[in-house]
Amino acid sequence: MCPGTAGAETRGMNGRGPGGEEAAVFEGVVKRYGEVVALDHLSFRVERGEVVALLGPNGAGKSTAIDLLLGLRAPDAGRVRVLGTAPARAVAEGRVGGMLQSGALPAGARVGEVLDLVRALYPEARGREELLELADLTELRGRRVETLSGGQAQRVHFALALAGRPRLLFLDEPTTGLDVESRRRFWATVRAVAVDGVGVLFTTHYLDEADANADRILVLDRGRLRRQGTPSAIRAAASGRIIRCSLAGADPDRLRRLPGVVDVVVHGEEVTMRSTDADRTVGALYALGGEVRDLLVSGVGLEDAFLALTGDGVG
Amino acid sequence: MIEGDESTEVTEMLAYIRFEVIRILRNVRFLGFTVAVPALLYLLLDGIYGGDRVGEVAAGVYLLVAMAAYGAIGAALSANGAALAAERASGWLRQLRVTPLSDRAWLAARLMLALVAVAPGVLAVSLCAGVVGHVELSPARWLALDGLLLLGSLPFGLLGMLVGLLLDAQSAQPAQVLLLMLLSFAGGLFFPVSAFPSGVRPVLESLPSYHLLSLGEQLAIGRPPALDQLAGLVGSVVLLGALALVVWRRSDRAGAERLRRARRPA
Repeated sequence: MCPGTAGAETRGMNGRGPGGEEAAVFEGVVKRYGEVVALDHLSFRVERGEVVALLGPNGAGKSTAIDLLLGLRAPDAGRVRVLGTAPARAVAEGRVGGMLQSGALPAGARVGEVLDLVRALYPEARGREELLELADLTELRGRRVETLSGGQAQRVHFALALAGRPRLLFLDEPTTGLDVESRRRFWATVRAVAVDGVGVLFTTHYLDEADANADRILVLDRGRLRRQGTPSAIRAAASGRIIRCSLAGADPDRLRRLPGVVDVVVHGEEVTMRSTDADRTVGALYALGGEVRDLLVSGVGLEDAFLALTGDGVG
Repeated sequence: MIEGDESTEVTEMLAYIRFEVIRILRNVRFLGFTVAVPALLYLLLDGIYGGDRVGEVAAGVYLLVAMAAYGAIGAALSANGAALAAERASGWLRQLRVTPLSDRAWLAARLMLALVAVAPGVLAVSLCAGVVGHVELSPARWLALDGLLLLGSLPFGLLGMLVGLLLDAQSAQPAQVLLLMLLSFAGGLFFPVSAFPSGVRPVLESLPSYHLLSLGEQLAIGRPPALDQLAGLVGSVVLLGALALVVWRRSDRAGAERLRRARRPA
């Protein structure tokens, strides 16, 4: 038996099927830029066959986490493993595919030529036709990349990410610029790829997209993992009601002491609170004595849950 | 950096060079400035000064070497200058770094690309000189001269790489043109260095563009190359190569700025 097969056998005996094998692991990862702490003891896992959304406001450390995952930077402390090895090695071995944020394609080249270049860089590249088909580019193969629309260029980037048959697929805001139909086809393809045992990690600005397409959501804020779970678990974690109102001189500390309140965000006079007992909270709010205006009580959507968890919008 | 299998690395480099050469050959502006302009300048100046002598060589030979070197320096600078700065800004380089193409292979491929990009201009001027300008050299001397012009473009390829790595896309273009003009004028490609005041000549004669011109003239008239000039050319490769490596390794700082901008209160 050749050594390669023996290695696969060992993994099998550990009880990890193709679905339960790690695609990416962060263990207590710290990354600083001078005095700024970009990642603060960040830990999470992405399994193969799993589609995971990484959400967080601007400055949450998403881009830094991505750089570490792709081996473009090294952590100051902790460990990052991709497919059981160092990220840079996994990338060098051609087992990682990445779709990076709206990078322009090199002007003067045709779509087919860009794909052929990237295919030539991977040891187990997909065939030309298969790749064109997967990313819906067959019609565009002869086009110069500078003549493509934003959505078409985005599909080329998707093809580049898939070119090497990656076992970890990373997608940074993949559907920006895509129309509804392209978006639907895009996620269907991602699903099909994940079923083959590929771990997928993506970031997005569209929360409904994370809700609909992710098996699991990681919420990142100020370099820390605030919460992780299925989309419905994330919503449930932020259970109760959302109370919004205007209140002159709102004091977050006093509001936080109101009965039932679990989260408070104050922007000027605008108050957003999450409460497990909205009736008592509202009563106590009026008893505070300030002038409460525009009171609104609503259920928790994913967006509210996200706001509650990070105290900020998705940037 | 993870080092891949050497043969795979070569295959990857060749694929990358091939891809970039096709892009360059489609770039009309590039071909205009590095092929058409030097060739036309040669024909024009040869028509005026063709019968004269420049120092120890016939004007036709001086013009051949000078114009070919002018085209070569321009091509080597722009293969990695503004083009590289634009690719850095657009994110295409980041995309490439997520593929198995290693940093080492990428750097080597970019340098080889600069040498390949030099070839059309050198060949065009050589053809003009050989066919229209009646410069008569033995095949061995043609080969030696054109070979020198190709390999001797390496310092300018490295200089272009420094421009592309250090400057943003807007300033890289004018910087590249300025460097080309400066190196060409001061290196004696438009007027022989003997036409400059003797006080500045030692400075001009230490430029790699002067070394390239001077070594080319020596090869064309069948003289052994001056070792100090050869050493000067090699020295500039070592110096610029070391600088390029340092700049490449320091490119880790962009992330800090990006994060600071994002976290700054609105």
